[in-house]
Amino acid sequence: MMERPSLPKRALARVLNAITWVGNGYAPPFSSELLRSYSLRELTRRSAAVTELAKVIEADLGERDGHLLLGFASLWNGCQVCALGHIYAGNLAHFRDRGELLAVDEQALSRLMRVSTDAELLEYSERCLAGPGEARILGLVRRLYQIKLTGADDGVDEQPGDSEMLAAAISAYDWINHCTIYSEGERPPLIAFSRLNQHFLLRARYAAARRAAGGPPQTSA
Amino acid sequence: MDGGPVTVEASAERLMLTAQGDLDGALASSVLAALTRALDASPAPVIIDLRGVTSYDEAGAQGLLRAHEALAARSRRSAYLLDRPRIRALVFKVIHATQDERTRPVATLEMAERWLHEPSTQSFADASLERTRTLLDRFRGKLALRGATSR
Repeated sequence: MMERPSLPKRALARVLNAITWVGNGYAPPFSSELLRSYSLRELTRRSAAVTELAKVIEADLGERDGHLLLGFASLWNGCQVCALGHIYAGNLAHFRDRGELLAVDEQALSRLMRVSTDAELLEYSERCLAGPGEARILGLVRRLYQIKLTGADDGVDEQPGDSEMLAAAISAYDWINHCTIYSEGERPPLIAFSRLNQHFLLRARYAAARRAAGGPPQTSA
Repeated sequence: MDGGPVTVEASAERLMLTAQGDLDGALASSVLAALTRALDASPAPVIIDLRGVTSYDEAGAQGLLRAHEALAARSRRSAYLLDRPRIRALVFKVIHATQDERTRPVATLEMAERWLHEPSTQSFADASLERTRTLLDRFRGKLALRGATSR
């Protein structure tokens, strides 16, 4: 659908990716697309806002739920890279801390994102988060859906600041998901958007556990 | 309105184009033709309802891009009404490719109407970023308050 970004922009994107890899543990695959739209200065300014938001949300909800929430904020935009990258990061944190798999399977979500309606995707997510101890994240995902897709939010916060947190996460991905760059038939790389992306052993153990549980094979960058 | 896979309803307030089925090259051509006719006939802002579109192929994606280019060339404010993540992702790609600041995806008709008659000329992306910053500051404030209360 689009021409490739220019050679200098692709080169600059490689430098940015190297910096992000060292600083955050992963290299986002859409840096060159963002540089097509924004100057380096503007991109840095914008990325800083999203990174800061992610840090504050993670500090409030914890590593696992922070990443899950960020993933769900992007999920309904259809962005396989951002949504699955954060949900994968949340899954890795859950697997590392509890030694078990969370029911939200990023590979299943990847398939569902291609064929489901918004409401069907919510139903799947609710089924996955129906277990004991998941009430907080389930409540947040339901409200996120209400705010983003129905406009029928009740405005009742379980914790002060929930409304602002959810609306901020939605807004953040509403600008960055302009870079959902993959064409039909292309399979985007699965990259955990956290430092856990560099824990190769953890990722291998997680992939083996998913395979053993009957999920499809993991392919990650 | 002809009752086919692409229909157009026109009023003084807006044009509503609705497409149904798999978005392939043929459907995208029909969208472009219907949209061009409607744009020539009315200066109203446009809602493109793709809730009846379940899938697309590369020809359909290219065709939608061409249709949106026609819309953007006329500087017309617009909104895409969507209920599937896959189609929403396609629309994000179209917005990114055309760099059209006067359009956005929405999930309800009410959201669409609000956007079409929004007095601000700020793009959806810029408005979203600004909103993120404002909300983040408010969120931090509430977290600080929460921390102070729990001490």
